Amino acid sequence: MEQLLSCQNLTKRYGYKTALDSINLTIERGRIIGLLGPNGSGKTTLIKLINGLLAPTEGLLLINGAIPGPETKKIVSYLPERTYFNSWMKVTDILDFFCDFYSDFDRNRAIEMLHRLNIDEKDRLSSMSKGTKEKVQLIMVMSRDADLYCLDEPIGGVDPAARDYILQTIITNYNERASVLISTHLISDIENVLDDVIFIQNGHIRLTTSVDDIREQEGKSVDALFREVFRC
Amino acid sequence: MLGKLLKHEFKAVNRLMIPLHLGLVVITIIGRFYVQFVVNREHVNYSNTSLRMWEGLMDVMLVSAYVIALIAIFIITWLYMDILRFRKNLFTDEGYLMHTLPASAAEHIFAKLTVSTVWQIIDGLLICLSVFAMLANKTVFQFFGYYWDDMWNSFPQIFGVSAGIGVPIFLITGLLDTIAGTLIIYMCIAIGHSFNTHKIISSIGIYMGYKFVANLLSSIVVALTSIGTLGNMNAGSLFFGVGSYYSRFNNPAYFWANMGFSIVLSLALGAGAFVLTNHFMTKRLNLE
Repeated sequence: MEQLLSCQNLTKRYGYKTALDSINLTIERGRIIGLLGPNGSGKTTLIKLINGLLAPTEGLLLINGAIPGPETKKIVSYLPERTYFNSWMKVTDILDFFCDFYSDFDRNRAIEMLHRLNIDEKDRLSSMSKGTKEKVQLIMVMSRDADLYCLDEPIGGVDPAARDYILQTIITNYNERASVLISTHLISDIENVLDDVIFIQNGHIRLTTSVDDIREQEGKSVDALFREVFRC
Repeated sequence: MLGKLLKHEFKAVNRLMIPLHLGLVVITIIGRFYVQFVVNREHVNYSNTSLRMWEGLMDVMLVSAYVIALIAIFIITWLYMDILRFRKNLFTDEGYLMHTLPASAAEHIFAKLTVSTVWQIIDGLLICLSVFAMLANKTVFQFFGYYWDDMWNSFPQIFGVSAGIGVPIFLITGLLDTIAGTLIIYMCIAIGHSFNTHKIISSIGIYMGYKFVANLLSSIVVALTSIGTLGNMNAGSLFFGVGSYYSRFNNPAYFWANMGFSIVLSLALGAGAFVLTNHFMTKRLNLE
C-alpha cells in the first residue's frame, strides 16, 4: 500500500502542556480512518498539524513526502470543527471561492448535493441555522477531488437523516487513491463506514488497527472496544 | 494565486470601503451646498442679531461635524485595512479557510498589503479632494493661478531641490512609509498571535515595545548628531539630516540625506517586518 501521510516523533506542546507526544503514524491511500479519542486527547491538534494551521514543536509530518505547505494544501481537503465563512456570503459566493482556489473542486457535484439537501444557492449564510451551515461547509469540502480528506467532527451538529446522506457521500465520493480521516466521538454512527481506527489518548496513540480485526479478533464493535479502552 | 487572493480580498473589503467613501462623497456634496448657501446669506443685511447668533452656532457645529466625519473615515479605513481585516481574516475562524488555501504566507501578506495600500491611497486622495471641493471658489482658483509659478519656483529655496524632483520624492517617501507602517502592524499581529494566550494584548504590547525602541533610537540619533528633522512620519520617524537648523533651508545635501535616509529606513523596516511576518505565519502559526 502506498503511503499518503506519515508522522515521525511528531510532538506538539502548548507551553507546558503536551498535546501530542512523539507520535509515529502512517496513513495509506484508499482508507477511511476513524480518529477516535476522548475530549482533549489531541485529535484536533493532529488534524491542525496536517493542515499547517499549527507548526510541530518537534518531529516531522509528511503528506505525500512533503511537509505541510501550499503544495500539500492542494491535495488535502479540510473540514474544521467551526464555521469559517463570512456570514455575508451567499452559497454562490462560496462556490466561486472554492472554484477559484481549488483546481480539484467540482462545482456540479456541490450543486447536486446542495439541491439534495434542499439548500438554496442564493441563500446567505447569515440566514441559515448552525446545522445548515455545517452541511454547506461539508458539501464544499467533499466536492473536492482531494487525496486526503480531514473531517473534524463532521456530523456533530447535523440531524440523523442528513447524517446518513453525508456519510453516504463520504463513501461514494472519494476515489480509491484517496483517504478520509474522520475525527469524532459519535462512533456508533460512523463505525460502519470505517476501514481503520486510530485510538488516541493524552497525546499518545493507544491503538491502530483495522475494523475487521477488531470484529474478528476481539469479537466486538468499535464502539464497545472504545468504551472498554477509555473506561473512566 | 496572488491574483485570485487580490480579487477576493478586494471583494471582501469593498463591501465596507465603497459605502464608507460614498458617504464621504455625499457629505462633501451636502457640505458644498451648505457653504454656497452661507456665502449667499452673507449678502443679506440682518438686523436680527439673535438670528445671526443661531446661524453662526449652526455653522460652527456643521463644520465640526464635517471635520469629525473626515477624521472618522480616515481612522476607520486605517483601523480596518491595517489591523482588523488582517487579524480577522488570517488569525481567527476565517484563518482556518485562508491558511488551508494552496497559497503561501508571502502571497497572503502581499495580497493584504496591496489592497490595504490601494485603499489608503484612495482614502487620502478623496479626503484631500473633499476639503478642496469644500473650499474651492473663484478667489482660490485666482490665487492659485496667480501664485502657482511663484510657489513652484520658491520650492528650491525651502527644500534645496526643484519641485519637479522634490514633490515626487515626498510622495514616494510617504508611500514607502505607509507600506512599512502597515507591515510593522502585520508583524506585531503575527507575532502576538503565535502565543498560546493573550494574543491581542501581546500584539499591542509588541507594537508599543517597537514604538518605544524606535523612539529611543530616534532620540539618540538626534541627540548624538544634534540635527533636526524635516518631517514626522510613522515608520520613518528616524529622520537624519546634515547641518544645523539654519542650514536646513535651500540645502540639497540636507534634503537628499533626509529623504535618502527615510527611504532606506522604510525599505529596511518594511523588509524586516515582512520577513518576520512571513516567518511567524509559516513556522509559528498557532490558530486556536
